[in-house]
Amino acid sequence: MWKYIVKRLLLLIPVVIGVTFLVFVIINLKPGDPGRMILGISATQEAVDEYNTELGLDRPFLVRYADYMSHLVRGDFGLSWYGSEPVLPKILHLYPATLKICILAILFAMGVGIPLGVLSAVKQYSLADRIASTFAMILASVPMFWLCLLMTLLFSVHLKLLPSFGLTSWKHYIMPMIALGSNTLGLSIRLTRSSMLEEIRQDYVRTARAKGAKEKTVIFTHALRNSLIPVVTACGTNFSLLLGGTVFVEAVFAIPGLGNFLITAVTKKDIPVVMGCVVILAISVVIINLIIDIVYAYLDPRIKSKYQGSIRRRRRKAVE
Amino acid sequence: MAGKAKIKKSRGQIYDIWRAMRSNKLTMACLIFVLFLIFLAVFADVLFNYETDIIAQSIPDRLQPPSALHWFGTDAFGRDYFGRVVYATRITMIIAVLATLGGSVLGILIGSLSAYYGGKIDAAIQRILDVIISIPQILLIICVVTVLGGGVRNLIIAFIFSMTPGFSRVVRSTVMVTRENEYVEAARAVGASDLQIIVSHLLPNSLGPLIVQATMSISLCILSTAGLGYLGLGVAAPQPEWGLMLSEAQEYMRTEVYLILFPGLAIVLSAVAFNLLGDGLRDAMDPRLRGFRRKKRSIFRKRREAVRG
Repeated sequence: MWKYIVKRLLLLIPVVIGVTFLVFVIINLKPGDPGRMILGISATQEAVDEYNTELGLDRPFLVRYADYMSHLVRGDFGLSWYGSEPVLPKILHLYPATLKICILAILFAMGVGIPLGVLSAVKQYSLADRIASTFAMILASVPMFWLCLLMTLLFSVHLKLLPSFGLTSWKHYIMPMIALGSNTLGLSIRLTRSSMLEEIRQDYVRTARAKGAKEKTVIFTHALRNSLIPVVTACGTNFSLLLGGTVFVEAVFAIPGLGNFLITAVTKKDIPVVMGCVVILAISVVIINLIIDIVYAYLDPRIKSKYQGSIRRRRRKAVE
Repeated sequence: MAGKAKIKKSRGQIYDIWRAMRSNKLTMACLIFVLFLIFLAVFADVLFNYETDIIAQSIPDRLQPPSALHWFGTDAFGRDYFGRVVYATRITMIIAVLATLGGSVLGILIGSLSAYYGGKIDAAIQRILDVIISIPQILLIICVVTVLGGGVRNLIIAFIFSMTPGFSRVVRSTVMVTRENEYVEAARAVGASDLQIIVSHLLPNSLGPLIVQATMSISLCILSTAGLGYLGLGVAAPQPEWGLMLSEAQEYMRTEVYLILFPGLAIVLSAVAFNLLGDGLRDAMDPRLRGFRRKKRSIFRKRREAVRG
């Protein structure tokens, strides 16, 4: 197991280099004229040129990338072009809020989606199944920001139950959580339903029933445990979608998080900030996927044994 | 396989798929709605005059609720909201369809070359795609839009860039499987070139999964276009675009609910239609769901019973 983890951690390095390089390439395709943008129209051409040189934009592309990376590995993400604030401390300051909303959203999506999916599968073609399936289909196609607006209208404007912006009390987390988790909720209902439907037709479920196990035990301890594996994996990979979605949710609810910070930087074309945010978000997606893979390999005995099997095979070969 | 002809006389694969699709009412409803959207996209220019009906402002008429004259009411600049919602279909569909088309063409190219040649080329291409896929799609699009700026053309470029890896994965996986078939070897033996083999023997097999992926991508493009429009990174005002219209309407949503209702419904309906159409197509293309599997199984069972008996 340790060997697997170390191997996966080592594989992380080229991916991180690749991600930073790709983002760097895209952003530097057309760097524009930041000196002119920052100093304004009234500045002289000499001042603008001097500013651009100061930012290091006159150097060749690869030199700039190498320079950026050598600073990056030392934890220096550069300075914002506006206000000359260091990027990394700001990102680290805003990141926890974003991560909290994402984790809440995924817990919400799985906590509501899995029971609904199970219900839908166990009572296939019933009214409950149809409602849950339609609900899931619509949720998967609703734009997050529109859901945010509708919820604000209902819960903040009309019912006056929940606050519509900021992030200070637990009440502030409810709407962002639901909005961000909506697409994943649709996905988890649909996935749980289909994988449950497959599992309850398996031989071992029939055996359990034949042994006289209660229906509840059959569904929840036998079928559900196996059908959860693909659901958990899919929701895990969906984390990338959630981190991207924070951009919308934070914009609507004016949440001081990474997504909002990124969008403000994009509209101002503040390249170091955009670069820093995207790199941090992309790296966290990679790391989260790694954690899911490891947990997954650990939880699913079949994968574990596959891996152990290969070690055993290798040992056998060595003996021979 | 000899029994297959006896079970059912097939009139070709496309006919089978069409028949399976026709039996699913929901899919047909979605197909009709999608055709309607395409109709609106193509004829929006004929139905409305862009200069006078869509972008011309008339302040005295501002913020009127829905009525017989203005079906969806008017917006903050007194423009007819119905016309704008309908015209926005055109802009959204152009972006979604062209981006999906571009993404799938590039995907076919990269995926088939990668799978056909395999080895180092494949490994290199796959590592690059791994990197692109590991960045959240919307962030990638935002990055491209930051550099190129908004507007229809740049959105299409950004979407193509972010969708190509998905398409090439789909093509690659099917080509990898079909490459091993004996008829491919036979084609090579009679002297077909690599290009001929890829185009006439390998790609037709990927077409099904590709079409399904494409319909789903269109729905994703619709949602992303609206999202970017809402953030102010997409299509520029005064062009009508659903997301942009929602962000303009946000200011007035407390009093004029219809302003955020109609564009939102338009987004949801079109995204749902494409998603369901994709689902229906996938089911129709899956022979296991068309009732063949049962018959096959029963043949095997009969044989088994015959052997046992």
